[in-house]
Amino acid sequence: GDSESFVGKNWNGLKDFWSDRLSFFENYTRFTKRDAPLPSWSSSDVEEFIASDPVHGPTLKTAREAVTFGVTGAALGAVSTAAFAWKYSRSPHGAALSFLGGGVFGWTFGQEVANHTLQLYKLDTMAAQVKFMEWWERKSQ
Amino acid sequence: STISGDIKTTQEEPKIKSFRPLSPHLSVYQPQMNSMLSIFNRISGVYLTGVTFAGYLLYLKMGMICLTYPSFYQVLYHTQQQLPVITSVTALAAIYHTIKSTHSLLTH
Repeated sequence: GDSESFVGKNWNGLKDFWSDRLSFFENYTRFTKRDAPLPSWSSSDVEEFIASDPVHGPTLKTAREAVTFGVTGAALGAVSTAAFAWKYSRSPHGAALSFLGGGVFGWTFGQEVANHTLQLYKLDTMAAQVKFMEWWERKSQ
Repeated sequence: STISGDIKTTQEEPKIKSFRPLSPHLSVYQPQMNSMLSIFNRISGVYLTGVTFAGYLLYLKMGMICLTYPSFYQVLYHTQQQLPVITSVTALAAIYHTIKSTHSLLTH
């Protein structure tokens, strides 16, 4: 009796702790845990949402601007790292892995630059994205 | 003429040099328990590292700004469909890696 409630209490505490930590995951699963994916949308649909929502619209616009930083960083990182590896090693698989690694590093670096220049840390970009996804879910049905 | 023919073949040898088997000649040994356990420990470690970094990049980094791009959403959607397999393999790899690593630490 006593030991059982002790285990049960700690198990529940542990479960609460981790479900709290992993609650961000629900932002994705509500749109990905479906039988069929949401129908595809275009950038003009996103523009329409941004114009219609004065609260989350500007935040979403900034988030999408940040993606440009990431893509630019990924392209620069991938090409420069692969070129460096190729110059000194002449090994195709080394250059290919450097392309991949440089791309990932370049993306994180670009996103970090966006984080500061666009002050992303002040914004709840995930909330804005979820608002758009809900909007599109309703609109596409 | 036979001697010159022999010389020619020895001179042509460098061309097929790159097809010589590479060290550590895994194919000439019988698979052994010790080496196989070690190799799978490395493979599980690489897999766990990959899952950790890919998960962080996809869900905690890129996902914060990329979700409203349909191509990124498609990647997340299809990852979600494979998630039961990915998590099962991750659990197995984590258990194996923990046991094998602890065992190695205690026995070396």
